[in-house]
This record gives sequence, structure tokens and C-alpha cells, in this order.
Amino acid sequence: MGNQILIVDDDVDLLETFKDSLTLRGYDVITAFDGQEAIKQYNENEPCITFMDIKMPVMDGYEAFSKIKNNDANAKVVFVTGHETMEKSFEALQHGLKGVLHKPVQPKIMVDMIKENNC
Amino acid sequence: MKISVKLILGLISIFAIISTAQYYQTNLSFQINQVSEYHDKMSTPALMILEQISTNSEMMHRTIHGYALHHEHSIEDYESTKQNVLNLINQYDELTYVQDSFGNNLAGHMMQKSMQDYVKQMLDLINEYDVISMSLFQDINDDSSIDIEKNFDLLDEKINLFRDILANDKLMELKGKTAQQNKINNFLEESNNLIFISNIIVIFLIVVIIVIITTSISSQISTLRKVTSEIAHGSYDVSFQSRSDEFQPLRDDIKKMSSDIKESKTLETDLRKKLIKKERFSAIGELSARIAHDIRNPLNVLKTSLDNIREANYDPEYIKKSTLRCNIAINRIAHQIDEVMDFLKDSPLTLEPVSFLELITTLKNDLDIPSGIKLKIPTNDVNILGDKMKLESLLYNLITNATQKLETTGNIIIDTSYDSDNMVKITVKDDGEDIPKDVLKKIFEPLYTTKQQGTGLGLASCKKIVEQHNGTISASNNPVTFTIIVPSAN
Repeated sequence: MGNQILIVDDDVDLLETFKDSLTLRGYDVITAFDGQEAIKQYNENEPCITFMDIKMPVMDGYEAFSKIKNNDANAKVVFVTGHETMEKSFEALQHGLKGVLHKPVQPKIMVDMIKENNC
Repeated sequence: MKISVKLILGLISIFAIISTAQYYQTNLSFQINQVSEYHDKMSTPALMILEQISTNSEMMHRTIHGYALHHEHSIEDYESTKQNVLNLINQYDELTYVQDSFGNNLAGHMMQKSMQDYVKQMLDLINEYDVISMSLFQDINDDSSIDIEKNFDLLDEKINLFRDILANDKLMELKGKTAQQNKINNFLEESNNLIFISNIIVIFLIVVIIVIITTSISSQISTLRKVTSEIAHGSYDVSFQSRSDEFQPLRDDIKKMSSDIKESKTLETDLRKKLIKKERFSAIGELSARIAHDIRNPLNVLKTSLDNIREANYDPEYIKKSTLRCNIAINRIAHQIDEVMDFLKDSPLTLEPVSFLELITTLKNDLDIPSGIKLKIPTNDVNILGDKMKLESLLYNLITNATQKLETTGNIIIDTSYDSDNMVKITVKDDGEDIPKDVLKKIFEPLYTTKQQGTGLGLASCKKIVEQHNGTISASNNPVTFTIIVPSAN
């Protein structure tokens, strides 16, 4: 497992801003703009932690999460969402989701999450 | 009263009138029969017998003259003629008892009495005549010429009396005959009048029946028509005058149906109100959730960008990059709010004739269309009766949608034409990808969007604007076409 951080969001502006924020703090950041792209990136780079939006075109966060987990049971995934927490998120937490962050997210909280997970 | 009862009453009266006329007809033919019977059995034989009496009495008288003056006849001749006269008188007497086919005396009481009087007078005279004749015969035997002369005078006197009686009797019989004839004539006239009058009454009655029945049916139908029309126009409080005719069950049914409709309408209105309220709440909830979500992303961009500036120790490059991002994020928030406000705003239309060409030309200059996308506008103008600002917003939305979909290259073609019924048809086509079927179904629904940064209110606003204009908007594929139909200003 590498020490890269994967950020997945279909909002390109936000994706770039997150990337800058973590890059400035010295992390190696890779990005994806939908669920499918996220799986591909994950399989190729095996990032240490993944911050993923839920509502996305092509494939949503839930589906991408379960596929990543199927491939790698130790995958560390955190949902970053603009919506209220839904039943599906609680279900995902029982299946090893590391957490749910609500937009707007403080960069400090993301950093704390990274540190907590030893990345 | 029931129509069938009216009809039956009318038919009964017609039948009664016809029957009366028929009865008179029968009566008349009965009378004619009676008169003809009177003729055959009474008048004609009576007159014949009287004629024969006259002839025979004259012969009797002549026989006496012949015997007395010329010795041409014998006493036996006289006796036989006298006997003939007596026989005839008897025959005449028998006529007074002649009966018709119903067994009634043909001669009336008065007539019978008169005839019997005549018979008596004739018999008396003949007796007297015979007595004189006998004395005349005696005189002839005695050859006393003075007495013969005297007796001849007496005989002449008696025969003259007899002639008078006969003449009177004949006159009476003739009078009776005439009276019978007059009777039949009167009857005929009366019956003709009656038939004429009854025909007129029957025709009149038929007309009256037709008028009454037609009027009662048509008046009932027009009442029913009025009431059903009221129901059709939403007035369910029906009141009918109750009448015992064939329409009563129909009226009852209509009343029942109307009250049922009213009941279900009230129920429906209540349910609809509740549903609208519920829908409104859920729509508000959905809209709020979407606004929250749509604003959270740019807010997150703002927050993180500001943090990035700090984290980069105010590096000018990061300041530049971040402020640009902040600007975009703020515009996005503003745009979201604008779209929501546009959709929620229910401002009334300011209707005026709008030149489409003028509208689209101005709009084309204001739009920021990538150079690879060609917007083709029509050369012929059409005039729309509409709100200029709202129509502009409508076209702006449609063209922007097409531009966003085409991204960099493609064609957007706008066409206009006058449709039937004073409407204008506007089509906005693009040669981009077709809209997926499931999307096409919901494309005008508020809050439905496939775009990351869409509110799902753009096309919903378009639909709202078109509907405010009493028009229609539809979307179809192959090529992607939005068709708008709005009233023309012509």
C-alpha cells in the first residue's frame, strides 16, 4: 500500500481545490471524477486513503465503495458529501467505511483523518 | 300527467267522436230503411188501392147509369163492381195494420185513425149508395121516372162525396209520403253536417294531441338539457319540479348522479388540496436539499481556497489561482439562487406584440457562444403576443442548454412559422447527441437534472413561461428538437 491520497468528486473546481490543499500540506494526491475512474485509480495506485463524493455520474460513491472493498478488504474510504447522511452511509460504515465528512469540509479535518489512518 | 295517459285520452276522445258519427250513420240508414219500407208497404200500395177504388167506384157508378139508361149492364154487374169496391176498401183497411220488419205499425197513431175514418166514411157512403141503388132498381121496375130522376141525383151526390173522400185520402197519403221524404232529407242533411263537424273535431283533436305531446316532451327535454348543461358546467345543485310523468325516473337519476358527482367532487377537491399541500411541502423539502447541496460544493471551494492561500503563505501564484476559484464559486452560488428565484417568481405577463427576429438578434449578441458552435436564426419574422423579458429568458435557457451539450462544436438551428389557429411555432434544434429516453420523459420536471451544476429548474422555468402564455413546449429526438407553440400577435 502506497502513501498516496485519492480524491474523487465530479465537481472539478472542488476536486482541484482539495488537491491543492493536500498537496500544500505535503501529500501525494491523485484524483478521479466519477466512481468508475476511482476504481481504476485505486487498483492502479492502491492509495492509502480515499476521500469520495457520493452523488456522481456514471457510478455513484456507494457502488464504487463496495467494489473497492471487494477488491481490497483493507481499503480506507471516507465519504465526502453535500447531502445529509443516509441509510446507505450507515450500511457502508458497518462494512468498513472510515467515516462521512459533510461539505463544506475543513481541510484540517481531512488532514486529521489522514493522520488517524497512518498515511 | 303521463304522456301515455294524454295519448290514450286523446285516442279515446277521437274514438268516441268517430263512434258517434258512426252511430248517426247507422241510425240514418235505419231511418232510410224505414222510409223505404213505408214506401213499399204503405204509401205505394195505399195510393194504388185508392186509385183502384176510384176506378172501380166510377165503374160501379157507370154500371148503374148503363143499366138504367141504356140497359147495357145487369144488376149483377153492379153487384160485382160494388163488391170489388168493398173488397178494395177492406184491403185499404188492412193496410192500417201493416207492420215493418221490426213489428211496429207503419202507420202512426194519427195516420191509422185518419185512415180508419176514411174507411168508415167510404163504407158508409157505399152503403148509402147501395140503398139508393136498390130503390132505383125498384123505381126502374116500377117505371116511375120522377123517382128515377131523383135517385140518380142522389147517387150523383153520393158518388161526388165519395170522390171527395177519396181525393182527401189520396192527399193525406201523398202528404205522408212527402213527410217521410222530408224526414229522410233532414236526416241526410243533419248527418252530413255531423260528419263534417266530427271530421273537423277529429282533425282538431289530433292536432291538439300532437301539440300537447310534442310540447310536453320537448319542454321536459329542454328542462333536462338545461339541468344537465348546468351539471356539465359544474353547478351540481339541481332542483326539479316533481311530476308524475315518464321523465320522473330520469329526473330522479339525474338528481342522484348530480349529488353523487357533487359529493365526489368535494372529496376530490379536499384530497387535491391535501395532496397539493403535501406536494408543496415535499417540493420545498426537495428544493431546499438541492439548494443546500448545490451551494455546499462552491462553499467548500471558497473555504478550502482561502485555507490554501494561508497554507501557501500568501504565495501570489496561489492567491491568483484561489481568487479565480473563489470568483467562480461565488458566481455558481449566485446562478443557483437566480434560477431558483426565476422559477419561484410568479410575476404576471406583460403582453405585447414581440418581433421574434428582433428578440433573437439581440439575444444572439448577448450570448457567449463558443466559436465552434454555429447558431442559425430564421430570416422570416413572426410576431408573438407575449412577454418580451420572459420569452428572452426562455430562448436563453434553450440555447444555453444546447450550447452546454454541444460543448465546442455543432449547429443550433432555430426555425419559426405560423401554425394553425393563430399560433406561432418555434423550434430549437441541435445536432448533438440524442436525449436518453428516461431523461426525455422527465425533462420538464422541476428539480430533475443530469448536470452536476444544474438546479433542475431551467427547463421547468421554460415550461412555466410557455404555459403562462397559454402555449405548449415539447422535446423530441433525432435531431434533438424543442418545439414551442405560443399565440401569434396577428
